[in-house]
Amino acid sequence: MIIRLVEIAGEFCTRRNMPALAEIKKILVEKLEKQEPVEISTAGVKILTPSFIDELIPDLINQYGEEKVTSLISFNPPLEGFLKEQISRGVKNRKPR
Amino acid sequence: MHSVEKVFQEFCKGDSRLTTVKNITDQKLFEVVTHLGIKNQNLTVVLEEVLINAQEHGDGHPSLHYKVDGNLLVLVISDSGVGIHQKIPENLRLSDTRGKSSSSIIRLSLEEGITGTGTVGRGMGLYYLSRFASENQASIFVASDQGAVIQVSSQFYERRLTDDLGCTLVILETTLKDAGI
Repeated sequence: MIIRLVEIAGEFCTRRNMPALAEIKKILVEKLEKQEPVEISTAGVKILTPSFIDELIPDLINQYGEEKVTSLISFNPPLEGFLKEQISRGVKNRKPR
Repeated sequence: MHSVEKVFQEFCKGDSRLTTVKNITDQKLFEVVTHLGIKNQNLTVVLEEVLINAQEHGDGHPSLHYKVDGNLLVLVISDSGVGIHQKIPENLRLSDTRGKSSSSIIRLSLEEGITGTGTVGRGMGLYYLSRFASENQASIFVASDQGAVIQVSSQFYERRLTDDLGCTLVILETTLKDAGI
């Protein structure tokens, strides 16, 4: 399955309080439960932020494990730089201190 | 005096070479990024995160000012809301902000996960701004109240301003090359 971010969240996937995040997360959870791969396409998205990624992925990794999430969920094109880094930061930040 | 301090002084005097975009939105920011030809995705991400900070913690109507000066790109985001020096201490986890100067609190805000909300994972705008400066030939100037912090690559300098700015200012000066222009 391909999730086209621009169709659900619009051209600016920037804020962590965007209602679209819950919708996307619901789809990802369903696919993870069914062990089905999902590609998140960012084509057409003008700006994507670490805040948005932080709200979307780290919780899933903590819930389903890094191996399962990274093997089933992919971004196209792959995340780079601060966006990619935010996933591991987000996982770390959510661990009890 | 660091170059980015001169930018600050010129900004305060009303630098006519700066182009100003008022009430900056995601779309307007994207148009500026496209207009300038910024290709460094990390820089775009930093600008958006700082904009979100300004919209959430400021007066809701931040402005973006920019200019190309030789081989340097200067970007300024300003807002007239509650300053960083007031916002950060609202985080109850940060008990050690009591009695600290505005510049010390601003310096703290550049570190990972430091935010006025106290929510896990927040506070990434100024953190990534600082990271961008330390990983590139960039300088930043963050001012609020009478305090300011200058970061030149990985070096930090705290300053006390003579007058209360009455706003929060974030200045980024980077080379065109590091901006991907």
